[in-house]
Amino acid sequence: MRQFLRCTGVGLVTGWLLTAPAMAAAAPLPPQPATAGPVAINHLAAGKIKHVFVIVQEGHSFDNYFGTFPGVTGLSASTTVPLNPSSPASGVVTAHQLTTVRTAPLDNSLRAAKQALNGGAMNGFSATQQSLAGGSSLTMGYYTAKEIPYYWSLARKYVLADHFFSSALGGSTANHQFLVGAQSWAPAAAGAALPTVPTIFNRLDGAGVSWGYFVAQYRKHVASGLQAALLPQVPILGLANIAGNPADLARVQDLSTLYHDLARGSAPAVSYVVQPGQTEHAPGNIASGEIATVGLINTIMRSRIWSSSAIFLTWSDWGGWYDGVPPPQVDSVGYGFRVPLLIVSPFADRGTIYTGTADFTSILKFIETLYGLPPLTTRDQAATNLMGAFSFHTRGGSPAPVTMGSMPTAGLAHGSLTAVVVAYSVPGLLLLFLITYAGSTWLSRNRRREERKA
Amino acid sequence: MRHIRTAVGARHYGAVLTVGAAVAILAAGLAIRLHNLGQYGLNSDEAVYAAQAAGLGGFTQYSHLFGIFRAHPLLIQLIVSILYRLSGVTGLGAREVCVAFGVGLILVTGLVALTLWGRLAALIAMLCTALSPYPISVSRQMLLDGPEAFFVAVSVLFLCLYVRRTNHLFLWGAAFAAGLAFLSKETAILMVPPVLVFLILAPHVVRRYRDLLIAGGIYLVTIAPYPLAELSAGKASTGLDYFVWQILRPANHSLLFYPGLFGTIGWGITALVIIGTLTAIRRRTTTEVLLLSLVVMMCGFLELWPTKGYEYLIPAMAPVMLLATSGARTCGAAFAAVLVRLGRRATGAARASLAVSVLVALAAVGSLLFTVSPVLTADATAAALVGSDSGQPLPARVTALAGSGGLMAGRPTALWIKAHTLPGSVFLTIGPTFANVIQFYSLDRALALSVSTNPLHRNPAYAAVKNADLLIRSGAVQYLVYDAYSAARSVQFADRILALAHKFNGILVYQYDQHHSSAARPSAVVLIYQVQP
Repeated sequence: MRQFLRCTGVGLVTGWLLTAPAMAAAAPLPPQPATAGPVAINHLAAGKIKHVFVIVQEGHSFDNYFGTFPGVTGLSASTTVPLNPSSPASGVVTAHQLTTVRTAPLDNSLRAAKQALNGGAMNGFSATQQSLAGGSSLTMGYYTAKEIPYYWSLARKYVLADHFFSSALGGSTANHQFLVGAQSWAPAAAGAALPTVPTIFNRLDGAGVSWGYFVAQYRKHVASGLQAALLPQVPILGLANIAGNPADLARVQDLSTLYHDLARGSAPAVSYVVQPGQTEHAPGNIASGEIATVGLINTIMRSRIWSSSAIFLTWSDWGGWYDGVPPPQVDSVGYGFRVPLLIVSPFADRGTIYTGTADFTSILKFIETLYGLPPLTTRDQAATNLMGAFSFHTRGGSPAPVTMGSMPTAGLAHGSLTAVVVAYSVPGLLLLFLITYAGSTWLSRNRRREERKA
Repeated sequence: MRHIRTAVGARHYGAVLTVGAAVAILAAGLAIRLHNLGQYGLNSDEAVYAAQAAGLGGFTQYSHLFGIFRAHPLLIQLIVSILYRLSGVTGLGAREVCVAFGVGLILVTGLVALTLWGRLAALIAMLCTALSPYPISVSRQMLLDGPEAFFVAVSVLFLCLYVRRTNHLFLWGAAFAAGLAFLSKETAILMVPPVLVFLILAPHVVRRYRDLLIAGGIYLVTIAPYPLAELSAGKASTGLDYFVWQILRPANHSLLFYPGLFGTIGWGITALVIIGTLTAIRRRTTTEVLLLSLVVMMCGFLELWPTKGYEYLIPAMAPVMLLATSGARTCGAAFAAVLVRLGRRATGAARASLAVSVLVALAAVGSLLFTVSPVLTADATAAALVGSDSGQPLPARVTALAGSGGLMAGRPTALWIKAHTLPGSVFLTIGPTFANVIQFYSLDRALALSVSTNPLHRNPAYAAVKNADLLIRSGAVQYLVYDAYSAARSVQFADRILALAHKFNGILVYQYDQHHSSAARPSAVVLIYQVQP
């Protein structure tokens, strides 16, 4: 395990160091600091929602996970992309269902994203992956309810957003940063001072609102001295204004702490959850990540705080997978490709598709609206507010956890109630017959006796 | 008293007195059986039968968890289902039905004694049945054996009437009642061979063999619903599955199990039974031979049958109590003879026998609490698994006589589950005993770790847990349940549950403590851990 963590950590840090400078260089006009004051509190929502959970997985575009979900803007079996966009005669790759929960990794870098985007034509997905092990066709693979049944079950029961975009074109690191700071930033060079970037957590601190950043296996990472490996998923560990503050650093905790809190019926007002090792990013096993994630959501539903909870489950980046909707260009950084967003709450508009155009900073805006916090950058200042996916005028629905796993079967025999009742009425009829027979015997005997007397 | 006697008339005075005493005994029997009837929740078997009744009553959530067709016929469950349709599903309601049968057993046993030996014997028989701890503890539970015992007693009553009066209607009534006993629980078939042999070998009893053939027909028609219901419901294999399982079931107790129950009948009553048996062997009257052969057949078979249960002997209770009555009469006669021999005025054999039986019956009641109280001990192995510091729970083991009463902490645990966990949650317990109780009260699915993966060695109604790790990893099971009763019976599975809780970072969400007389810390009778995939 220790070795695995070390290898994973080294790989992630290397990748991050390689991509981050390039990403920073390609962003001459990043989101600017916000100019507006605090967002007006939605008092109705604030009265109902006391706990917000933001669960972030990685590496899947909307079409890859929910492209064939009924009612969404997705893909069909006839969706194709050319092998070479500049040469239409080179042939096409058709969308196809993936039958395995593990695949080869795809390139999800900024370079690959730009090539796939191809200036908005959305036809470079195959070409950009040609050099990879998965080949040019893997990117057109998609999953269905058969492979990710629990996510689909959640989508059917709650809200699925089909125009939800990653905030930055490219991989997961910048998008994880957007999820906490409404912008991306360059990491500190080795030995240099950590940068200071305002995050939603600083805003929450200022408002006296509790928060927690829960990381699976965090304790093991700390014990192994491998916190740096978590920087892509826990970008606040690389910020002076969080990591340099012991009180805030202590809010980065092992995921088991959240489970203990939930068992006691408590949780911070805002909880971020990431699960390194189970992020679902290829070549990882998506079933493993799905079970862990839906298991956590089920646990929240089973806890006493469900009635005041809002859960946002999303994926940080496209993962190299095809998506058919061109992302709007709101600034030089994003949007990136669509990713799935599931909104799970007793107040969510159950069984609906949320079609509003939004990105990760919309989640920040939701939190800001709950607590009246000032926006962080121009991005969350202008973001669509996800309050529209809720109905706070209702009393809130009871939890509908996803049934997971397959149950061992018993030899239960249910049979037919009518058959039982009919069969067991036989002794009743027999009793009637016996009583009638005994009565008639007694009467005839009495009659004979009286006749004899007479 | 004298003027009452004059008013009623000397002829009816004895009858009125007998009826008054009988009503008082029935009232006492009813009061004892109803006292704190709902104090403890249903145990495993009760939960299964009550759930079957609920399923028959149209409450599909119960039939979904328990099924309807299991090992036994469904007459009693059908009767309880009518009550459930009227009043809803409760554990107490089902028990009250069985209490009614228990009080009926007192009455019918008295009527048999009245037929055989007269009024005083009737009162003695009723007294013994009403106050003996064994029939009390069984008839306070929603078990099939209590009603079965009632119908066996009714059948014996008709047989005794037939022997006395040779009216074929009594023989037919006996066959019908024996059939109902079978429809209560199929073990009542044990009364058929001795009765049949008795009737065939006692030519002065059966005047016309045609009556015997008709009685046989009545018996077969009466028991027909059991196979008919399964056949018509397309579940013909269910009964066969259970039969195979019963045949191959390993012995659950030693041969000393039933002799150990003498104390629960009451030592004094047991002594009277022995005296009555010796008297019957010496006298060998027709009815006493019948009673003896019933007791020998039922008790002998159950003693040899590898699967033993606390309540299995109750169908033999009417003949046993009648033998006790015979013993009391013998004691009374002997006591009167001794007094006469000593030159004193004899008080009368009848009065002496009544006095003897009152004393032994009252002495028997005293042993009621002693015989069914569970024994709680600390589980050292389990304590080591969950940690030994004072902040950790101290798992316990409970040794109790299976079937003798409620399951410690079963109902409160299940009600906690119902109140604090989501419908649809799945629990993994040590054994099916606790799983059944959880399912009945919480309506949540509970699997049991100890259910054998070999289909020949498990109750067909239970699902085997082939891979507990996988069930937890896949999110199918969310809670692990440790209980002291199952831990005492299946030590290795108790340790396995705690090991799983440890492995999957189980969070202790519920603990039911019981203070242990010899320990400073309370013992944890039930522990529930929440586990994550």
